[in-house]
Amino acid sequence: MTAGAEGTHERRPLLGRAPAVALAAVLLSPPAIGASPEAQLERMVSALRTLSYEGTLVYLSDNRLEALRVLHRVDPDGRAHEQILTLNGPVRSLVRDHDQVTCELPDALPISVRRSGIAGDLLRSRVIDPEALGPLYLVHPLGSARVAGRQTEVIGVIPRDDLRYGYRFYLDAESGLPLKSDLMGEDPEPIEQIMFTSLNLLPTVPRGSPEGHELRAAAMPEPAARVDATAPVTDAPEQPAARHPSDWGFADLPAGFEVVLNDRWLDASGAMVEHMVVSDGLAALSVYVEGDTEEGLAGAARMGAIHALGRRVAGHQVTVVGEVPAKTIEATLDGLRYSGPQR
Amino acid sequence: MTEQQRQHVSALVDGELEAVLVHPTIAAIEGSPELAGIWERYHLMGQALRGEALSREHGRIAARVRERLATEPTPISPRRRERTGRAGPFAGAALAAAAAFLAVFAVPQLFGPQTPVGTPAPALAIGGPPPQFHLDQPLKRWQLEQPALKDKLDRFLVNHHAHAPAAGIKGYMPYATVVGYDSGR
Repeated sequence: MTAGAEGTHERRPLLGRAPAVALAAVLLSPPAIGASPEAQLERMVSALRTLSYEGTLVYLSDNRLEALRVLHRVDPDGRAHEQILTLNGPVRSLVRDHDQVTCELPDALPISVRRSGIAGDLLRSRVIDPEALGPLYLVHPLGSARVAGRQTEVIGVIPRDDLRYGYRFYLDAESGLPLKSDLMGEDPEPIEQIMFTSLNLLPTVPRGSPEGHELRAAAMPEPAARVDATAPVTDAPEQPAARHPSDWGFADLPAGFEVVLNDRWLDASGAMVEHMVVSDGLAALSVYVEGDTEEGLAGAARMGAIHALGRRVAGHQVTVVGEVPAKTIEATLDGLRYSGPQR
Repeated sequence: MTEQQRQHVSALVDGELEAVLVHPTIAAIEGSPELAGIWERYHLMGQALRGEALSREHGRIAARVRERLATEPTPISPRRRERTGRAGPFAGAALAAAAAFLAVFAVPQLFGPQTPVGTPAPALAIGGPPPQFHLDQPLKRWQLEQPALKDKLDRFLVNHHAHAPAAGIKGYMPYATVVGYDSGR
């Protein structure tokens, strides 16, 4: 154990209960002082994947303030388990366990998504590539700030055009975790803000151990209301179809974006859905193509910074969703082409 | 402007003007910029002497009194006064004018949002708190009315985050957005 580790140990009583070996996760990231902004971003990605932590977040969007409880645990084998629970308004929760995500929203069936092997492998291999992002974003240090009682280094990820959002990441100087994130558009005020108001770094403990149960119970109380466990779960992409040449492609895409995933799966009704992910390496949007369905979005919709647009294309219902400006969604949909048999 | 008119304006500001003179004095203020200026200056002096925040809203007081009069029911004069013959047909109107004048002065909430900052908060109206104090209504996810369509977009969004490269880079952040957006229906 290093001197720095002992210092960390003294400041956080929670860590005092941890086995010495468990502190290794906290110490993976070197201090941020003197590191380039690109290196700090890579450190952020590493911290998000490898550190165990719990805390309270506030989320500000559309002039609404929400509080969320977050628990993120990483097992010794590297498998991540994450829970997010809202503390305001109707209970909403999300559980992310390795390659499966389950989301519970009010008055709706739980949404369960399991990444296919291909998609999972692809996404796990993805990291921030400063060289690839360079033509699209300027990564720039913005100074220091204090967040949740901790010192942070602020890194700006500044888009070079208006086709993507930018970010201000407030990175914990000690752990590299983003303690605050501002989603920036063209206006001076952030579109959305997410900020930790309290954060505890947790030791990595073996799953199933008594200490692990204790930590989990302390960090994440059970939701006050739960969806009946026997209710059917909407399995969107549970059954990935074999990959084969698609009838869909793009005549044009917004600058810097490319198709990074093309998959097909059966929805709950057994209908085939084609899913394409388009990304610039940081921003991303999804294009969903369905057959003839009456339940399709016609026009635009928005939820915070997330935009959606739907329309009929060649007898299919196409819906585009992503955390990108509306014009990027529209340009993507405009560029979609169908080359299959006419319906 | 006559000295008598000036005295009437002064008495009106002090609330001491005879009821029968309220109407013509208000009409005179409205028809004379000079009298209107005196009316405003007297009010400002009174506010300054009382240590109140200065407001120029009283410049519209005559119009407000007239608006109030227009909504008053037609006054019915007491029969006893009719028999005496001392009160003319305008007595009821004068009383109504006086009542309206007092109402405008006595019910400061008539000034509404023009009430200057620093003045005591008016009593709550019977109808309840003003709109800006109402609790926020839950936002509509996707700003859509159709539950089935909202559910589908939610499924698409969760699926998108599960597959988007940015999800791996940004950790918890995309999912905080998914559940953080208030989704009361």
